[in-house]
Amino acid sequence: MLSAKQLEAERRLVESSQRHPRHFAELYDRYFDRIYAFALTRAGNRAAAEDITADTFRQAFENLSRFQWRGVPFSAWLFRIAANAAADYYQRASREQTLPAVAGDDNASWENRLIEVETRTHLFQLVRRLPKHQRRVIVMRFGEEKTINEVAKVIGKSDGAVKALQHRAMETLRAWVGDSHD
Amino acid sequence: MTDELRHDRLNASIDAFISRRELAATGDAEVDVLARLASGLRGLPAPGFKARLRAELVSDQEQGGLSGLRTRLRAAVSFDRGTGLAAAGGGCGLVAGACCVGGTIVNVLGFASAAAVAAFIETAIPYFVAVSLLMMAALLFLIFRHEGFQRTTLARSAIRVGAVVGGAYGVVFAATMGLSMAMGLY
Repeated sequence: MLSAKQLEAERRLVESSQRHPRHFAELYDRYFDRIYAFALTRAGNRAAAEDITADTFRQAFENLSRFQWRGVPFSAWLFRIAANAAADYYQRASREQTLPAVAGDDNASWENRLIEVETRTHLFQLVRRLPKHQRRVIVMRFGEEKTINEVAKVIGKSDGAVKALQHRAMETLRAWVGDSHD
Repeated sequence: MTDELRHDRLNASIDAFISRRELAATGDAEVDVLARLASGLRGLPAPGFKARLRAELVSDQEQGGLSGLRTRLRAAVSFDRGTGLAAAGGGCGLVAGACCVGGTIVNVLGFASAAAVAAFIETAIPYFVAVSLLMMAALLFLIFRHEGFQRTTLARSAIRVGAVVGGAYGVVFAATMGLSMAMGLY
């Protein structure tokens, strides 16, 4: 939940982006993780999440001048675009019969989905704060889906050393996240 | 249990949910906690994706691609809400005073005498005002329909919108009448 001061700062940033579209990059950086996490939660696989995220930001960028500030966070508008982009994606995929498996539980409540989106967003942001070697391992394992052996070859360490780095990275993340996952 | 065994178990668990989306218990509570947390990282954005999309969006705008051109055009003609309302009100005011402005131009160019123009303005002005008021009513209706007729906010919104639109209408209409009065045509 944004405070009144944060909302005002966001309004100024949106208006500045409407006048100078180059400033949209700042809005993009601010909301990328959340929109991607939302797309991933809806789609369940990386390729679909990337398509939906890209569609969302392209549409937002092209229609930014039509956005009217009404005192609600910019993210509400972005999420609406993302929800429509996800629906369009599945419509296209079902027409082409390339529908990928949908993630998670279809019956999951909006509350649970929202919690999942926020949890993923938080985790993605925490990964960027990991020490360099731990971060490299986590990004290659989860972002590029490389095996331990492939990671070991890239960073020039043994399989055992990479597993240890991976374990340490997860312990670091767990310490930052707290006991909420226990 | 040795550290090495724990590392192996966590890794096997991560492999399982990356490839098969299964999060199986390892028999080690500590490792299971880490594996559950790690499952939230499945689908972590690929390293280059964010930067590529960012470059595509921003460079479109900078390098003048079709989408960039469209965005620049929209940005160039876009109004914030207040300016848009004032422009719309001013436009209606200009319609109301069109006979004054038109008559003044015709007179200045020497196509009609001052008396003929004055007579025209006096006859025509009620019709122009009526048309402009109808336009303004339609404009306000469209605005409120777009924003939704919510009882709680309608009165406040109507006052705010009415003040901006009506103010701009009044200023522009007064200016057009002032012009014809200054020329002695009204």
